[in-house]
Amino acid sequence: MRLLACIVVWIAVLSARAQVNDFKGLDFGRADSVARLYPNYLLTNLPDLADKLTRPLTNEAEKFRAIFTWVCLNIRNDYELYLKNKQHREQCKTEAELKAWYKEFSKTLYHELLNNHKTICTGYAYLIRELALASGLECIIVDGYGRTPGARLNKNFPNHNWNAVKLNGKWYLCDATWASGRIDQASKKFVGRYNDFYFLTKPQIFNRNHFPLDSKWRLVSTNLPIDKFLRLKR
Amino acid sequence: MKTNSISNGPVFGQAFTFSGSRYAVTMVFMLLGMLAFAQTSAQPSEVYEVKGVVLSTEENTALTGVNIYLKDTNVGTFSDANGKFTFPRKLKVGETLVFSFVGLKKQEYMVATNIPEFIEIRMEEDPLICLGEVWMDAPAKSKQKRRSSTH
Repeated sequence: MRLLACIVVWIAVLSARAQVNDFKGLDFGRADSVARLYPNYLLTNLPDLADKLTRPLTNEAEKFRAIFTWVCLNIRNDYELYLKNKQHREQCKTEAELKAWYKEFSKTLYHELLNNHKTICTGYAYLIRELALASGLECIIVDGYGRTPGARLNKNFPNHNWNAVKLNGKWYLCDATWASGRIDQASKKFVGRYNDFYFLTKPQIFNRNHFPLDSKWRLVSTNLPIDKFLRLKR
Repeated sequence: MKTNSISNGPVFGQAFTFSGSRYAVTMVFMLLGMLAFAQTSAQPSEVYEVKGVVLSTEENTALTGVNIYLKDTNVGTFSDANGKFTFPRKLKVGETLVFSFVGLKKQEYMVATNIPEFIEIRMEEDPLICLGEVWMDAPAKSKQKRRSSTH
């Protein structure tokens, strides 16, 4: 009996080690094809969309990939929304004011998502979370700081949302906003261009331009203090 | 019935790993459990038509288009323009309906023997911490192109 227990433990250790290499061998082509079957699909029934995206796939990573790809291909980052939120947040003097603004702006955010498929980081992270949860995957929205070439980071002003998702018992990080495309500096229009870099990125690399408010979501231990992160250049 | 099968789960797992005889005993219990289940489901158990309205907690107004589905299934419906709904399938005691919509906190409703003829579901807004950062691309060549095209 003890031998059997040993074998079970051994297999568990092996499979845990296999996850270090993560999904290198996995071909996400199938998941991406599924995601492409539903262009501009309405967001009025997320459980249904989640089901369509994930039912044909068996593996948790593939299921999540279909969700991630769909969100990146179908949701546009909106500069005006971003600016509106940023300017209002900067004017808030107290926590209560900020909270009231979030409550008000959330309505706009949901409205724009539903009706126009456009949003800011928060909407991307929200959709990823809702679709993942509806598919039985544990997923959360992470609040924190994101460093882009143009952003001036301020400790009192967290500026970015992304996701952590649990696949086969292990947490991973991803950023659908930055994976979906960029804003053209001249026209301020969104240019969709999928960037695979932000899908289940190795935490050590992901953390170079992401700093969560809750250090738990760095997923790796580090002693980099926030002030140093904010001062770092790209 | 549900709780019965759940409590069987872990016992089965342990027995499978550590003891052959316990495994056999558990199998017998599980079979008995399945027989019991078959019997109860064969009896005409009571089902209820679930009707009601979905309202906003904050505004006290009807919520239209809310997704209403039987938990862990694809069976579902929407609330109509007046927030009203009739679930397409009659439900048994213990079955749970899930109410969901973008921007609202998910609600669950479990069918009980004393279910009112017309239920009222209130859904709360789900405000988010709205943060946003855009990744700006360097001035694109498109600017030059546009200029040359106007000439």
